[in-house]
Amino acid sequence: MEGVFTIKGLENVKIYIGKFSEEEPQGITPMPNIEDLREWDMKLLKRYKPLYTPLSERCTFCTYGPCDLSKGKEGACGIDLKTQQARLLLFTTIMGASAHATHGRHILEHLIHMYGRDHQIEVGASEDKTPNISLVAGIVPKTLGDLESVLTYVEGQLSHLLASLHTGQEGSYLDFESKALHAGMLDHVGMEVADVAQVSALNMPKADENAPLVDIGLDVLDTSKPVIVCIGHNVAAAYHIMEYMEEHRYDIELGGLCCTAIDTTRVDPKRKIVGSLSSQLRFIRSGVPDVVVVDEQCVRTDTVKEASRLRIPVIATSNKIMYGLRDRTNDAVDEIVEDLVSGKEKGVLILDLEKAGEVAVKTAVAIHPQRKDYRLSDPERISELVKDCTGCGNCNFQCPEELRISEAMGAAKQGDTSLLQKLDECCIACGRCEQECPKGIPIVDVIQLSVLPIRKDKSKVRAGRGQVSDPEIREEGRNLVLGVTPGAVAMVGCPNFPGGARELYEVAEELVKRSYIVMVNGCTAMEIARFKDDEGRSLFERYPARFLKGNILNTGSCVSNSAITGAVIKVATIFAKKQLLGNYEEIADYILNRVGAVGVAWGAYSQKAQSIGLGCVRLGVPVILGPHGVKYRRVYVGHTYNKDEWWVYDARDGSKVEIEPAPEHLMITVDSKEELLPMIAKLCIRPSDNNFGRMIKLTNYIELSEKYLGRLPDDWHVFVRTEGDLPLAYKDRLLKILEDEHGWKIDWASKKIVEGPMRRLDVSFQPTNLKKEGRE
Amino acid sequence: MSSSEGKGKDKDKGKNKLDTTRRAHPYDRADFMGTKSARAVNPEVIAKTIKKMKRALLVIGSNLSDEELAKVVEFAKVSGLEVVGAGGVAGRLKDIPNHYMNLHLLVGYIIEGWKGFDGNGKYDALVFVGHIYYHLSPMLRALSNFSSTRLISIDRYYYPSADMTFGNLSDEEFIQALDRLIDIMREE
Repeated sequence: MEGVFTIKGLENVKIYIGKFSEEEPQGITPMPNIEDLREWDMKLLKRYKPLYTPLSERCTFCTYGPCDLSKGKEGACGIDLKTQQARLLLFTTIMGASAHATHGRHILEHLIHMYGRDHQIEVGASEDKTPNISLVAGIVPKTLGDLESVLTYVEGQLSHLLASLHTGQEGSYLDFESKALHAGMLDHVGMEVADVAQVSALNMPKADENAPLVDIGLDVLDTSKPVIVCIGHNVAAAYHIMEYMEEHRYDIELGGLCCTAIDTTRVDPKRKIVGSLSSQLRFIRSGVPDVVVVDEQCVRTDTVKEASRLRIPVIATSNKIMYGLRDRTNDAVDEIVEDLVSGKEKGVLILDLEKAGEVAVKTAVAIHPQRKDYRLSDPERISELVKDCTGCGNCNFQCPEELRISEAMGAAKQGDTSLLQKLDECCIACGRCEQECPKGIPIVDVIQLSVLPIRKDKSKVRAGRGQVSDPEIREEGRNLVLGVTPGAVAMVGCPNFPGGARELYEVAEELVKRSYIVMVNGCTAMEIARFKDDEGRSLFERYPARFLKGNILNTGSCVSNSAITGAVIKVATIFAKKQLLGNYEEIADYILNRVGAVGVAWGAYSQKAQSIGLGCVRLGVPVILGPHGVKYRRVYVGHTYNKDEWWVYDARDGSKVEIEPAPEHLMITVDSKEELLPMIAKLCIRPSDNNFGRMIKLTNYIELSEKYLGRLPDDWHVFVRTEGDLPLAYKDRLLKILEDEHGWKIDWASKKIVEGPMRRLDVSFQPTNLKKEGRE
Repeated sequence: MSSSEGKGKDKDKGKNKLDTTRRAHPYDRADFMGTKSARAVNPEVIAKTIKKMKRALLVIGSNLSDEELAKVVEFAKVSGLEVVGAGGVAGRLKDIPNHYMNLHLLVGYIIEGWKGFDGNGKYDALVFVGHIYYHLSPMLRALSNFSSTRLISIDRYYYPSADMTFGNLSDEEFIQALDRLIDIMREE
C-alpha cells in the first residue's frame, strides 16, 4: 500500500508512505532460503535416487579446463561427473525459473503502470487465490502491489542459486539437486505472480469451466485481411495491439504462436491461435504474416533473418529479445511505419508497448497489399526444389526426431509426396536438416508444400480457464485423495514429441475416457486441440472443463502451470485442512503420500519445462518425460528391490510402516505412448488410497498394461493389500495368480486373501515422511 | 574413431560385402561430447564377444519394424540371451520369454549393482537393439561412466559410448547384419 497524506495543521508537511506489508510472512518456512527445505529434499533424494545421463563428459566452465570427467576422473577444481551434471541441471533450472520470474516482473510492472498497485487480485471463486505464493512466501497478497515483494524474494533466491554455480562453490551433487528443486519451487511462485496478475487485470477467464472455445490452426486466419502474428509468452504487447485495433476499428487478423496466442484468446476469444512452437518457422515461411511481433521466451532466434526473406517486418518488444535491432522507442510512429513498410528496416525494437501496438497495426495495413506474392502456395514447386537432392542422408543425421527425410526426398523426386506428407505430422520444423543439405534445399518448405493441397488445420481449443476454484476442490478433492478418481494428470510441455502430436491426443483421450482429470496448458493444449474425432470435434469440444473426473481443463499459458500445482496444494489445504501459509514441507508430504497427481511432459524441450517439472517433484508430484527428456541429464528413480526405502510413519502414532512403492518414481522417461499410459496409471497410486480407490487405480494399471504392453504388470501384486483392492472384473483370475505364482493363501469360499500382502489395508492410515507429524 | 568413411575403397566394399564399420559417427552428428568413441565392428566380432559373455542381457527397444523385430527375436532364440523389452516393444514380444522393464530404470538398476531378474548376479554385458538413438545414447554414456558392464550395440546406429557398435546402417544393411549375427550364433 502506498500514498501521500497531510496532517491538519501541518499542511506544508507531506508524509510519503512508500510500501509496507499488511502482514508479516507466516508459517514454518516462509520465504525459505536455500537451506530451509534441504532436509525435505534429502528425504526425497534418498528414496528417489538421481540417475545421471551425461550429454558431455567434459567441463568447460573455467579456464582450468576443458577437463575430462569421464570414468571417475575429477576436474582441476575437484568436481566429478555426477556433480557436474547436477551443476548443469541447476544452471538450466535457473534459466527456466528466471524466464518465468522476469516475465512476471515485466507484466506485473506493466499492469501496475496501467491499473495501479491497489488493483485487486481476483482469480475466481477462491479464498486461496495464490496457493503457490502463500505456501512458499507465507503471505496472502491482495493487490498487484503485494506481488512485488514476492518477486523480490524469488529474484534474490535465484541470484544466490546462480552464485553457487561458480567454480569452487558447491561440491555435492545432492546439494546441487536440492538447489535445483529450490529453483523449481521458486518457478511456480514466479509463474503464479505472472498469471494471477494478468488474470486479475486483463479480465481473463477466472476459474471458468465455461471459458469459450476459440479457433486454432495454421489455416484459421483470413488471409484476405492484413495479418499480425504475435510470438512468445508475454501478452502485454499483444494486448496493446488488440486495444489499438478495437479503438480504431481496424479489421485485422491477429493470430498468435506459443503462449502469447493462448493469452490473447483469454483476453479476447475472437483472436486466433496459429499454433505452438513447432509452427513458428512453418508459419513465417508460409509468408502469411504481414507483421511479426515478438515478446519473450521460446521465440526462434533467427526470426528476423527468416522474416526479412519474405519482407515481413519484425517488431521486438522486450529487452530479452532485441535481435540487434535499432531502438525506435522514442521515434514517431509514422516514421517507424514508413521505414518498416519501405524495407529500410527489417525490424525495430519498441519498448513502449502502446506505441508498438500502433506501429504493428499501421504497418500491417500498409504493407499487406505489397506482400501477397510472398506466400508459399504452389505445391508444383516441389519437383523443382528436390531435383538436386543426391540422397546423401545428411538431413537424417541432423534431424532431432530421427525422421527419414532423405527417403521422403527421394520419393518426392520420383513424384511421390506421400512420405513428405507423413513427415509433416512429426516434423518440429527446426530447420536443422537444411543447415546440412549440400544442395541448400529448403526442406521445411518442401514438407510444407507437400501438405498444402490436403491440409485443413482448423480446430477448437478452450481458452485458458485459469485456476481451479475452491468449490471444485471441495467437490473433487476427497475423490482424488481416496483414489476414487484415478488421478489428476497434467499434460504439459512443448512440442518435441517423439512420434508427433497425435500420440499426445491419443493419450489424453484414453485418460479422459477412463475418468482421469486431464489438465493441460500451453503448447500441449494447442497440439491436442488439432486432432478431432470422426464427427470433427476436438477433445475440448467433446469434454467439459471442470476439475472433475472425465474432464479436460486448459488452464492457460505456460505460467498457468502454477494453477496445476495450485490445485494439488488446495487439495491439501481445503480437503485436508492443512495450514497453507509457509507450510511447504507438510503440504508436499501430504501430496506425495495422498494426492494421485502425475505430470506428463511428453514433448518437453525447454529449460522452463525442466524447472516446472522440478517444482512438481519437490511438491511430491511425479513427472514422466518423453524420450527426449533423457537430455535433461537426470531422473529420479525409485529402486523397488531395496525394501529399506519404502516405508513411512503413521501420523497417528509415529510408528514406521512398510509401504508399497507408491509413487515408485519422481521423474522418469518412457520411450513410447505404449509405455507412457501404464506408467501414468502406476504413478497415480498412493499409500493413502482406500480399497475402492486402489481397485480403480489397479484396474487402470492392469488394463492399460495389458492393452499397450501385452501383459499383466510384473508388480501389480505389490499394490494389493486386501481382496477389496482387486479389480472386480478380474478378481478370480488375479486371486489364482496370487496363489499360484506368489504363494499367497486364499480362502476360496469367501474369496478372501488370508496371507500374503506386505501390509493390510487400514482405512485410517495416515502416511507421512515427516517424523514430527507422528506422535513418538 | 575407427571410421573409414570417406575413403573411396569403401564404396566398392559396401556393394559386395557387408561392412558394418562404415559411417562410424554419432547418428546425431552433434552428439559427440564424450571423451572416447566406440569401436565400430563387424558382426563377427560382436558375435564372438557375446559368445564369451557369461551373463548377457539383450535389451530390445521399440524402434523396430516388424521385419526387424522378427530378426531380433530370431537372434534372441539362437543366442539364448535373456531378453528384456525396454519400453513399448514389450507388447510386441510374443515368441520368446522376456521381461519388461523401463530403460531408464534398467540403467539405474545396473549402475546400482542390481543382481538381475532372477537375482543370480550382475550382468556382464548388455546388448542393445531397436532403440531411439537420442534416448539410448546418453544412457550408454551413463553406463560407460558409472558401471563396469560391457556395452554392445547391434542396433542400426553408431553409438559413441558403447564398447562396440556397428556404424550407421541403412535398413538393408541392418537386416543383413542381423542375419549375419543369427548365422554366426547358429554356428557352433
